[in-house]
Amino acid sequence: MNQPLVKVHNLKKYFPVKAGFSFGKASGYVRAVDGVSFDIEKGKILGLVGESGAGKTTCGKLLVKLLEPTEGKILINDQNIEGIKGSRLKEFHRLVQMFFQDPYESLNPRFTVMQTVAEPLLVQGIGDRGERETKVFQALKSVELSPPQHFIHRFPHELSGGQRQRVSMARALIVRPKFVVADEPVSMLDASIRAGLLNLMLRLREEGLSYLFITHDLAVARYLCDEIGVMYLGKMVEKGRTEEVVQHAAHPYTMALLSAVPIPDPQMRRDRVVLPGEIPDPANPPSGCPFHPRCRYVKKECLEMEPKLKDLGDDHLIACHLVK
Amino acid sequence: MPKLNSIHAMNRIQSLKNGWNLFRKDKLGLLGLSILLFFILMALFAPLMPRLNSIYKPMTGFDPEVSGSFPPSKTHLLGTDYLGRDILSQLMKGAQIALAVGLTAAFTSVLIGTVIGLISGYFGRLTDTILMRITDIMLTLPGLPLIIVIASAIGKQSVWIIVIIIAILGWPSTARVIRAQTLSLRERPFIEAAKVAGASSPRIIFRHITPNILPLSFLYMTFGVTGAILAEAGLSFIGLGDPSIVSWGMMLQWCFTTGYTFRAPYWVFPPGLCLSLLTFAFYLIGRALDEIINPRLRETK
Ligand SMILES: Nc1ncnc2c1ncn2[C@@H]1O[C@H](COP(=O)(O)OP(=O)(O)OP(=O)(O)O)[C@@H](O)[C@H]1O
Ligand code: SF4
Ligand SMILES: [Mg+2]
Repeated sequence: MNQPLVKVHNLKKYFPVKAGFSFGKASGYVRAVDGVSFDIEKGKILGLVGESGAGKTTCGKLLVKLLEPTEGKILINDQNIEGIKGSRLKEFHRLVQMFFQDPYESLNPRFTVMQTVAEPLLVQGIGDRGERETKVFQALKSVELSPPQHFIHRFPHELSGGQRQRVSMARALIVRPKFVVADEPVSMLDASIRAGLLNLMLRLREEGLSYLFITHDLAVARYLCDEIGVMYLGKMVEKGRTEEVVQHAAHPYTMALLSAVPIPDPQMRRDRVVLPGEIPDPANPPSGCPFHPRCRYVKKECLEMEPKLKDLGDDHLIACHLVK
Repeated sequence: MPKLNSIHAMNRIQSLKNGWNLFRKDKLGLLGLSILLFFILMALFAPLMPRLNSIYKPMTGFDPEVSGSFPPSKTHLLGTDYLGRDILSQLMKGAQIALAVGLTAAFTSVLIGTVIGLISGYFGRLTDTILMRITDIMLTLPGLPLIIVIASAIGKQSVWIIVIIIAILGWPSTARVIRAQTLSLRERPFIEAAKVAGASSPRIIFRHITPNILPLSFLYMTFGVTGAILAEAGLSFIGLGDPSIVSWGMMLQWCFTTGYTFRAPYWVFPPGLCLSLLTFAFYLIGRALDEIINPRLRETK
């Protein structure tokens, strides 16, 4: 077996919440990510699935060092990424990149495509001007924006959503990263252009790129991912190989997700999965199993004791009292 | 490979053009701009007056033929002051002073305010707390009275000292606005994308955030100019101005202290009117810019 490229152990991120008139002091915490562990091997895709507020984006941002963890350990390429700064942080960002969710927001409105895509090279001090331009052309071609000279002088507002997302991807890929956190990169795009982008991601995986793919859509995850992790209120509740999780889902939450059909949310410009029952207040999670207020199979012990992750065999993990 | 620089420059010109096209539609803004243009011409032609005739030196051009204040005549189109100096040349020199004082004071205070607002908003935490405490204290200081106290404490008056005082007291309001704008920009995904690209904090502040807040700084500058011009005029009028220069406030003070206020309307009105018109012009321009800039800010949110 390969040595994993990414190793995450007991990762936690708590955001302080300030209520009304508490002066400066945090009155509580949102446990956005609460003790999550996983590995990603080279050339593999792990999908993180869950409803809004599950902590998927927070988890992704921790992995690209946009956030610092409250607790836990992240090893990427055998390197502990805790506390790295300065030139080592720049080096880190050559290894690890991110695809962002919102193609309308992730590009500086005042930068041309050339400026945007060349930025990582510029700040990393890679190549001279001519070499950088050549690389930008290559990167644009690799995300299927051709001919590149057609695009380099355009501003984001002159591009379609799909084109912007490709520009954003070209910016991430230009430093030839080994690992990419893709935070719902297609969720805001028309269904008609999603497949193209997903296939592009698969092609890049063939070249050895690994992903953490964040989505609320199990169908997309099933198409793309080697493994799926299901998150609920900051916790991993089920994880395993994709077909195993999809066909033998054991956690009631995963089952509910599987039966839900994403519906478009025009306000958020993306789809949402809507399950019966309300998502609890993440600052004030339920006792015992966090899913118990919405679970059809809830038992007495579910209210009192939090289920631990158990291995059903074959690396299929699940946190539910139904499983003994 | 196409010439990238020239194309980027073209794009910048294009966006200026778009701004101008919007501004053009605002009739009051155009009126403000015309008034400003008039005063700029006045300031530009000010040095020509003494060259025509040395009696048109604003400070030392005592006309031997008129020893005192007289109403408009052929040689003195706007009349003379109590020393027989030409009021029109003083007025033109005053336009120069007003524009210089207003623009430098406003520029300096907006520059300070922008930098402090950027740093405070971007770095947050303790930096923000300290800078905003200072800003709040400065904001609660009573501006004009304090200027008077400082100006009289310094004693030896020079316009540049006055400019510095105005600038130092003027930055906090800009800092507040720029900080708020920076806070909202800081959370935008394109800033996160720049961080993931490996961009340093200075680069993010100056390349990504600053261009998006500069229009706002510019707007605050037009507001600041008005305040600075009026502050200088006020100080001069109460005798705390720079005695070696001719500003509109000084002209008013001379008129007032020599007891001509009610006897020589030809002397009181021009500087008073110029002060009102110029500050009004900046107000109109600022208001028109506000209309253009703020919807854009809202739209990019
Ligand atoms: N900077 C922050 N400060 C405070 N709370 C935060 C912050 N970022 C996220 N949270 C909270 O953490 C929880 C997890 O948020 P996160 O964005 O990671 O969820 P998500 O799974 O990505 O959801 P979505 O599908 O809506 O993108 C939410 O309750 C959110 O309100
Ligand atoms: S632990 Fe209990 S409440 Fe939680 S998912 Fe399992 S059955 Fe439902
Ligand atoms: Mg998210």
